Amino acid sequence: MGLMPIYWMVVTAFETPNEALNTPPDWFPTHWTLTNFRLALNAEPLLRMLANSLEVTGIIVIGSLLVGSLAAYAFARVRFRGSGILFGVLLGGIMVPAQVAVVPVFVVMRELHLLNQLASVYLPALINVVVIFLLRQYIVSIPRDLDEAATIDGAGHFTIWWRIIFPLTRPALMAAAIFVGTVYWNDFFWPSVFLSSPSRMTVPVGLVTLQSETGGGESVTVIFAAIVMVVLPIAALLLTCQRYLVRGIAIAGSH
Amino acid sequence: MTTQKDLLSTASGDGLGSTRLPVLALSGGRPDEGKHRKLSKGVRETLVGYAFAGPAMILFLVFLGGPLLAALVFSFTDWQLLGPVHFAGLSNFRALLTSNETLQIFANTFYFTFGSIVLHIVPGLLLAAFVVKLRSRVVKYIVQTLYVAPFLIGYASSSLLWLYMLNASFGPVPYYLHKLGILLPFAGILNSPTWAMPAILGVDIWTTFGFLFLVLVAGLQQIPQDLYEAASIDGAGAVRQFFSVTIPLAAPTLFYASVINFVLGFQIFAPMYIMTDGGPLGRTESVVQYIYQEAFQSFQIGAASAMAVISFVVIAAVTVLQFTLGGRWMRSAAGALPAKAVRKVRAA
Repeated sequence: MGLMPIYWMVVTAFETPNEALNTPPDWFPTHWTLTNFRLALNAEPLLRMLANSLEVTGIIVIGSLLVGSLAAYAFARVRFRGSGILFGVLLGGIMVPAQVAVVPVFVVMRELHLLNQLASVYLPALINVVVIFLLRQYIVSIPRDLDEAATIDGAGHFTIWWRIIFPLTRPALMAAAIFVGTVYWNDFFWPSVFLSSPSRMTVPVGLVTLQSETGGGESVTVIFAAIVMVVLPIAALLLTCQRYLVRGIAIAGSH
Repeated sequence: MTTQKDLLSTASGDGLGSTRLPVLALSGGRPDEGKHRKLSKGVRETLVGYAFAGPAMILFLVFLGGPLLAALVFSFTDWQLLGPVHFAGLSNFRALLTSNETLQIFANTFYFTFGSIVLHIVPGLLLAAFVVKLRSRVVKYIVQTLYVAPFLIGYASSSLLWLYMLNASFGPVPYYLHKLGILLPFAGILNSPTWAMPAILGVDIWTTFGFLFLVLVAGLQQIPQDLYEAASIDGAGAVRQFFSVTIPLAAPTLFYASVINFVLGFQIFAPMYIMTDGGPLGRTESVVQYIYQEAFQSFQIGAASAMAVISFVVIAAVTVLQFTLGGRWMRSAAGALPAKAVRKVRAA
């Protein structure tokens, strides 16, 4: 029942526009066509958008996890002046929603001439307070024996982080990666503010642009073809990583 | 949790850390030398700490903390992005708080958010309670997969899909509703001031139900099976078990899920922007949509920032309220747990 709309979308993507506008809706079309896919590719640079989305999401996942893991290590393992206050201030960042930050960050990006650049979308996402919190909780639960043994062997903090803590937090890192990846892959608000030309857009904004430019009921087959082409494969891939998504939610939910 | 906090407070209060003393006492009898080494180690630790937390702190200042303060400053100005900046006092706030449009926008956003919380959590909890009882891991996996799939295609695609699902002339939903004898507004569901928001709520539930459902499943899985066994020995049926064991023990999860749902609901933008553009008659315009239009279509940075500040205050206030009420409810719910069942588990 819940997946019927997705089924209808896939079927409609292979129909001729006339058939798609039929009532009652066709659940088993008679004429299959690939024209819609060609029309969609001609209307907007969909593959470019797919590449943009991959680039943005990839940089955000790797960057936010590295930044987050370093900070989490500092707050879990290094005893330094002001760490309690800093961690508290950082956690307060959870309360700052995108709609509050968006206007000032827009001004900053304009000054840096980064508007309509992928960097304006991925740079602000490199700081993810939830990831830092999650990783810190995880690191705190790791016994210190290994760190202490490494310290006796003369290892510094960087070695301990890179050789011991980073590998040991892999389950939490994987969970955070899938979660952050899913959220930013599908993010619509931020890219719709910062990216204005189709060749720079990520997939969600690109699809909406395709819809507003082709417009009307006749375009339904083209838009569905575009979604089937650039959204469903990645969704299917993420579905196979569902285990990590569940684990990430479990880790985040139990603290 | 407490021990971690204690550790942190000693670390922040005194960079030298008292737990190192025994080690130093072992390492040599000369207090002066020990003290010197200890101090330099403390300084070094501080430098290392700032180096590790540095990238996060800088990004925080530029993209979260700084912008929050900047939004506050902008909200007291009449800045229009390209023109000069003038101090405008409280005029942006006065204009917002006295306009019917603002009232409508907040009413819409609260309607959406609370509808979203209830429609996610009530059916989500019932389904999660059913799913965690399933013996077969395969069936469990399939059910989870079915529900989480729409979440993975995202709001933009799901809004576009439902825009056509609900299309008045060829969409399957109006067609079958009509067949069932349900009278629909002639212009279509999304053009009806009464039905547009419920339709958007439906799209929201369809898109994110699986996510909140996974949160609830993760929470329910942590409830020890012994409690259910003890309750059933006491003669409690499935319904009684649900109310006396599942709900009290799932309280922290329900609370967490409602906080996430509120924060996400209050930020809703994509379905309205894509499906109704805030219409008809402004009945689906959300807070974020207003900020988007004011800031990036009308370039009224002052007005947009004032709305952003108001929305920040609302989110912060409701979150704090949820934490206070949620905390109280969780304590009383835990107290209501059948004492007999708990004793039995402890005895076992």
